[in-house]
Amino acid sequence: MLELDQFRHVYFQECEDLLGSLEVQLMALQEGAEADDVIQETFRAIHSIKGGAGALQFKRIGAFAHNFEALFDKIRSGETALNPGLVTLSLNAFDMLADLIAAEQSGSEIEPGIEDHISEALQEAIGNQQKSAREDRADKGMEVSSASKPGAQTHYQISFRPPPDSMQRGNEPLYLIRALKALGRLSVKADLDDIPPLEEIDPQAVYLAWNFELETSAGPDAVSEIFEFVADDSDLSVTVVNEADISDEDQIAPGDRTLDDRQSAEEARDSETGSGSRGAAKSTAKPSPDSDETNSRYFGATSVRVDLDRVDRLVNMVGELVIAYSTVLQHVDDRLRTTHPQLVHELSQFLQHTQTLQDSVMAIRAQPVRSIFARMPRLVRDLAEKTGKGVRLKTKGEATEIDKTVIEKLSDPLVHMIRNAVDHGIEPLEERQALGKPPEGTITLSAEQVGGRIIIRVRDDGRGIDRERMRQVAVDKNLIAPDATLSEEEIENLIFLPGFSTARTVSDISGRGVGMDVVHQNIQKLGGRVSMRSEPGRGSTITLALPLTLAVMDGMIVRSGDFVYVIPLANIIQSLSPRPEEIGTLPDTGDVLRFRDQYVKLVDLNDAFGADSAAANDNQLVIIVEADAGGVVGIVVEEILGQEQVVIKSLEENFSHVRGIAGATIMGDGRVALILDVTAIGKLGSKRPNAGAAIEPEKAELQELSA
Amino acid sequence: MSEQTDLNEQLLAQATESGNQDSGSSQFVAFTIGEQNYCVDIMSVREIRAWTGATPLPNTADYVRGVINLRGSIVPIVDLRTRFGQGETDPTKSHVVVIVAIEERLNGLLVDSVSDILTVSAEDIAAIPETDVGSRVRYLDGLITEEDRMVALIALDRVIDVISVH
Repeated sequence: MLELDQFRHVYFQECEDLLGSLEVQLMALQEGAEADDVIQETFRAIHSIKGGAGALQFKRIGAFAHNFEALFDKIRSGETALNPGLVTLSLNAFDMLADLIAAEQSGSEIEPGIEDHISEALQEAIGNQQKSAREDRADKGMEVSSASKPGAQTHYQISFRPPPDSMQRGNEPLYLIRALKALGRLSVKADLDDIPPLEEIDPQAVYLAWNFELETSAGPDAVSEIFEFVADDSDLSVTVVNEADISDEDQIAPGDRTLDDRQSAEEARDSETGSGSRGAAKSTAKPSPDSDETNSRYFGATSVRVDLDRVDRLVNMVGELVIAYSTVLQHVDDRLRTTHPQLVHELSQFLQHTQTLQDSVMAIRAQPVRSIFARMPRLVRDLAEKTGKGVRLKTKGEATEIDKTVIEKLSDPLVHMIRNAVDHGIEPLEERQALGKPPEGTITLSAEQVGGRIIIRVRDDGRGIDRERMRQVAVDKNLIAPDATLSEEEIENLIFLPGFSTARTVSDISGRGVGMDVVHQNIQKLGGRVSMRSEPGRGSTITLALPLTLAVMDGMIVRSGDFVYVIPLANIIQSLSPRPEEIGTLPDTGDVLRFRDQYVKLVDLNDAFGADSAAANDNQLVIIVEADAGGVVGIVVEEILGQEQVVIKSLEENFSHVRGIAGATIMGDGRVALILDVTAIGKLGSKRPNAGAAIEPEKAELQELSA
Repeated sequence: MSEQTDLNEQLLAQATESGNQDSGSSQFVAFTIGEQNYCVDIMSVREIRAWTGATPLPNTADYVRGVINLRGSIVPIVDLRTRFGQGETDPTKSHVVVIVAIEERLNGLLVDSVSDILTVSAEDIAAIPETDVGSRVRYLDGLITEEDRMVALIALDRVIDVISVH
């Protein structure tokens, strides 16, 4: 019995892989590829699922997979030609197969006969499609040849000169260079011309400029994104050099060859080595017109299945290694540098390896968002059916990679956001037609990496948010004061407040008044932010900004009293040392600081956390942080100890969530430092009745006060 | 510190030994808080360490002394003296943290010192007198008499559960 359980377990794990592979192949087919190996791989995946189901007596999966397999058997043999209709049918069949497998795995009941209409459609397709085979194939052939372009490499010449005060503003050029390097093949030349004589050097200033040669398959957007935050103040030029130009001028320089050039060079070398090995070399190093596809085809053979716990253990141990390293580093002083220079040098090597190791381990956990995006078309189809609205889903950036843990927790919020968009955003057919909009609404789901974050957007072209109504509901429900002054953006973001729902009737799809609040909470738990923007009559966009990984974070290390805290760097706007006259004390809010054009609430860590309040310190520092939903808070600390990448440890693992604390980390000396949850910090110590509101009413009122 | 290591080794040896023993008796790690003796089931004890300080947590119950780093895991420390309503421990290097696991969760119990490892058969564990409805009774599973001392058996799951849910 136990053995059978084990077989089941292995089968479902295999299914997960096979479904993943199947999905990739089907997506490729949907995008117009019709290479034989794609079809072959599709067939093989379905066949394996069917085989296992047969052996384990999963009759429904077996029977359904049989029909699905039969279709691809016909396509593979050329008896049936693939057309867009069949691709859609295959995608539906894929969804159904995944559901059947999931139901079998969880032991849950799935409605009998629910798969019948797809099974019938599959059988019908096998019977009826033979005739039109030839014409269809001719059409598709054209598409494939033009579609195999995007793998091409582009060559950029970039020159970059950051402003001298770049470091003070927290823009470390090294990070930008690393980010560039991550895009592809990079060569860097530093421009040393502007370095002044030693006596004039300001140690904090940046005197260097750089010239980069970058060869990448990424688009110009990806390159300019890296410089997004510095482009305004820097001398920056990004030029695309034509591939043709390179092959004319730089053919000899090995670093400048494109992928295809390299391959043909290899081939040339192979053929030179003699006729004996020639045949063999040719068959293995055969250049493929579309190398991406080849990679995905062989992916199955070169991957291993590893339990996630093991990966996590690895991640933890590498984290420990990094900590151990910083402990060692604390013993390196000037004396040691002079007495054992070699040792110190080796240590820095050690650091580099450790960092590479850390990056590699983190990459193991990364997964493309495709796995959750792929579930959404079905959801949209179902919702469209239920509501009687015409809705189309477009997805972009499925290949964007993000930590597996984040992916797992992203599914529910996405489902909710899409439900909300279909239910409340997209108008009914007649209404759209009356407005002169296309009758079919469009929901766009996109993912991209911007800096250290993953941005996921759900955009609809529906009616947008009725701000007046939103405001009125919020006032009626006592969520905001009747006279509060809120910006358009603030009003739109009221949707994330607990208990807020403007749905006039509670529908079975959404509108239970918990939806968007839950999205907000879930995303916040992941260390992400969510925001809503809308244009009345034209649609709304919900944006999720998520961390790349949950395991590591860039933080500013601060001290307050006897304790050390970490503030997430992503939240920090500025740190400053205010003059006493800039700080005011309000009777019900406590201290406020004038910052830019507004007053921000000051939170003293010693007070907020009930630590012994040290005697008033004259040179207090204030770190201005941006909380979720745009609130700004100043955190009062005594000392800034530096910036570090910290390994995030969960408090929940052995304890529970603590208000104001996002997690903990272990410092170089082995002690635990708490990572602040800046959003919750802003609300700590506030005695106002609506202190739980995501939008700080204080802020608005203070703006009035200062006017 | 060497005393700690000894204890840990002893624990390990006894735990292995207990596997060979009659199923009728169990082993308990006994420790003191002030004059009172308490014990916990040895099977839930992971290790015993000297007190080396903890990072306090804000917004938590007063008996949560903070968290420590246990080989990369963040483990909360409970001051059992405070938990049982007897004031706050002023820990020194000679105070001891007993690391216990309840299901998968690790927790540290701050106690004065670990005194003994007891082997007791099930029938020698006396029930808690029902008349006593004081708060700490809820956290005890029974009473053991060991050489004229009374040792209170802590119901870890209940003590820790309350803490986790808090």
